Amino acid sequence: MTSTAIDLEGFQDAVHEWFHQETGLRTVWRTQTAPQIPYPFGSLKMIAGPSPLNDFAEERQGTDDLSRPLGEEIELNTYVPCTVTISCQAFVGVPDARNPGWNAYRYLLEAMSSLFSNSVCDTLRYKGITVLEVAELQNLDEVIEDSSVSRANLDVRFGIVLTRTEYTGFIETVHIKSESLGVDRDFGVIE
Amino acid sequence: MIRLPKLGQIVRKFSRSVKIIRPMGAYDEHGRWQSHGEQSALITAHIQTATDKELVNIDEGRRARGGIIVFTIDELRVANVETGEQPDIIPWQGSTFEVQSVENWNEVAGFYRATATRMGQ
Repeated sequence: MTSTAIDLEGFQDAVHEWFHQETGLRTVWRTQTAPQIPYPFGSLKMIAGPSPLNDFAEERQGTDDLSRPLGEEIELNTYVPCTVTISCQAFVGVPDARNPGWNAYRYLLEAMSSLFSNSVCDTLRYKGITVLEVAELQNLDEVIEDSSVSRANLDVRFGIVLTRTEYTGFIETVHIKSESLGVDRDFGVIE
Repeated sequence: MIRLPKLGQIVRKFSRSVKIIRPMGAYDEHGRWQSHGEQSALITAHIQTATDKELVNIDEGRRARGGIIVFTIDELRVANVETGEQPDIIPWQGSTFEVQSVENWNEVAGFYRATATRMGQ
């Protein structure tokens, strides 16, 4: 039996909480079939990853539990370190869109600078997330219909460890058959 | 030329019951949209296929899929950024159409004129 314990949702929730707290913006995940929310708002999207760092993957044995069903007594956890890049954007409508002190840059500067503070990094690390790379801020100002929208983007590369849990059982018997040794029997049968 | 109040009478005369679907939902605290199903209702409406000229104000991607003009005595809902409401959906002749805009002629003529475009994938 195999159960997948890849907690991408927990990672997304932690990133959402960080971005919302640092910018103060109501924040949603992009590309959902859902209505836009009022300006100003933030949006997040996973744009790359999870990209596994294969050399660092490892398998560790978890707990043995004889109360589990036959063949599932042993827990095996595979830990796969991965990188995930999140595009963080802020959208600001008029009139603040035209105010250099209050446009989308301002919000993303707050988010960007927070990633260098110990408190934020420790909070993320406690949740199993490390900040690997913070890209430069990009200006994506645009005109929608007849009004300008201040929009900025910040790509952040996070490191997470995905886990996959599998269950296996003990080997009950080993059958050895050898004509040269004259053996053809089961070994290890528990009476 | 037909006067507007007269047009309202014509709308009433040639309308029939049309089913509309009103999607419901809200964002949760993690920024994910949670659908709460949909409500359906019957409105009294007259529907025509929209001409290219009538769709000229709709943005290109939606305009290209075609649309309908809905004359109705019931108010239809468009997407509302402030309230987070989604637009009404009108199933018609095997396709579904999403309401893009509503002109309110209710006070002067007793009807609404809505433009809806065919929904994509």
